[in-house]
Amino acid sequence: MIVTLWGTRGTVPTPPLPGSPLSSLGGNTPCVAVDVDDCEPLILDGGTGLHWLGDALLNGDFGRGLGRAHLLLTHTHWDHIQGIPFFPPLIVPGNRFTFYGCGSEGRSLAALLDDQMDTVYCPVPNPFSCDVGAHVEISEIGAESFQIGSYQITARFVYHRPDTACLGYRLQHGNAVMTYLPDVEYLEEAQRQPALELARDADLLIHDAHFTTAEYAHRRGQGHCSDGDAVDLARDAGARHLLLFHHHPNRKDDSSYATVRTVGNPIVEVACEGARYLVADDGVRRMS
Amino acid sequence: MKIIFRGVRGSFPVAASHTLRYGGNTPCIQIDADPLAILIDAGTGIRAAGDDLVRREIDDIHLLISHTHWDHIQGLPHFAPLYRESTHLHIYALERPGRSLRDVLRGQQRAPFFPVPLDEMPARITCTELTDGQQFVIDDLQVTCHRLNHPGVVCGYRIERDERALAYICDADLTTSLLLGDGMEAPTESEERQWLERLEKGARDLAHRADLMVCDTFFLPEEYKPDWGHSRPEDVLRFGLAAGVRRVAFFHHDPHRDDEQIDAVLERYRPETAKTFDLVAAAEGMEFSL
Repeated sequence: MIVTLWGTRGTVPTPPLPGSPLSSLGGNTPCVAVDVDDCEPLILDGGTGLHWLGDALLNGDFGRGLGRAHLLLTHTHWDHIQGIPFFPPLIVPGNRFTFYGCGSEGRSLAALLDDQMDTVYCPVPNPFSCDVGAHVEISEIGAESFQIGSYQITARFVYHRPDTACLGYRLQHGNAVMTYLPDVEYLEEAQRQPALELARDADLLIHDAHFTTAEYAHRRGQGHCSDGDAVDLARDAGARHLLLFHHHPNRKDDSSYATVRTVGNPIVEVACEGARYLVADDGVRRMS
Repeated sequence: MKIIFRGVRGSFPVAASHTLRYGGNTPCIQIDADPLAILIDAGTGIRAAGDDLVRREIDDIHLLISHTHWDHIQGLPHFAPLYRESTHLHIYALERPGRSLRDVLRGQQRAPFFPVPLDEMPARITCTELTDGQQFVIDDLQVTCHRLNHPGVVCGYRIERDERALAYICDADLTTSLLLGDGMEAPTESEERQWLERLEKGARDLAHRADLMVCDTFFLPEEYKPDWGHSRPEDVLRFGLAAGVRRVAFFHHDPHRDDEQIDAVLERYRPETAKTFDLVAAAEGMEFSL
């Protein structure tokens, strides 16, 4: 599996202020592409990183209306779906997309994705309820396991906010496993169980580290955890390589994450936009 | 009036190396009129304005919204003054048939899209819906609102104090073909012509002899799409010339327009405007004193 980070920032996209450089962590909201040779691309979440992934995809089959991809959404907070209206392959007729995810607050995922395209807010063509652009299918899922081509996928509900259902994903291809838990908080031990299950012996774990351990002491209950919580979860699950993800909008670089300077298991790295990783059962290697 | 550009990008925020000089935040302009502040639009640029207002303890804030497309409101849930009880935010926008301004803004902040509902924010929030052509006063500033030629419901603003005027005309198509917005009925050609004349007159009234006119130039000539409701530089320049403005700022840059392309646009159009008005491309952090 080749994993490419198109967006790593939590809450809100963060273009640099005047005179400031681009943060090494990146400023686009969450989007991660997963590619293998024998299956169509998987895309985890649709933050603003999705726009730039879409631009890249237009160079291939998706520019000719021959593309097919699967988008796995964890939840519908804006930072995880706001790139969808601006995903160029979505307005190319002939392309086919399947969106997987869960509804919340009594509304289906299909209704929530359509809400974002309401013309009061959004002037672009709406393939979710009109016959325009790509062919779109919505697969409403819960805590379940299923296959997409050569992938075995497991989804579990994790705790994020009391009024918002949120999924985590485990993707297995051959013997390689990656786990995606971008938004999660562990207020009690029982809330770690689904995350431990998803991350069990994972080769790569992408995990929420919205806060540093010091910050979290004052931010408990906001739906996110710290880099320390992420390392504890990775270690307890036996995950080998951890990427700290969903960076706070004010985070400029990795200097305040104490855990990236620890040595041993798991290997801890900070997720940087643009990074690519080769994930195999004998380990994880950064490609760019 | 001191004016600061806080966000100048159209469509969606861009965090990338190609927009570092002009900036990647979506639209917001801050006008300091101590002891109060006026903001135009609430794109992600409003976050920087909010941090500044909190630091200076400015609690009386007036937000003029051109329209409620995402790029013009998406910064509001992240606006730091709304998390303070001492803030009173007055929000204004053109009335829309069938849906209140507060309801539209509530929609952005309801679960499962955002964790903090609008009505549970600590600040006091007052929503005022405007009619086409309405004039009103904020402290010693005179504000005028006119509907613009754009699909949906969009208005521009003129803000005046001490015979100095800022005109904000975004998003708008300043060519001569009518775009029917919500609630605009024009079943006959003559009614269509009446609408177009009314929209054109409204925009001219906003811009008349303005010291600074901020205009949407989303398109270059070769990119123009007639039904999107955006303008090209030459549309804006022709319009600014007719209105006798002193300075024009190109605004609402396309997310793909890189810094060098914006430089090139200025170089291309400056020679023909040099004798009539000053031409700039709005950049984040750019300030003007009127």
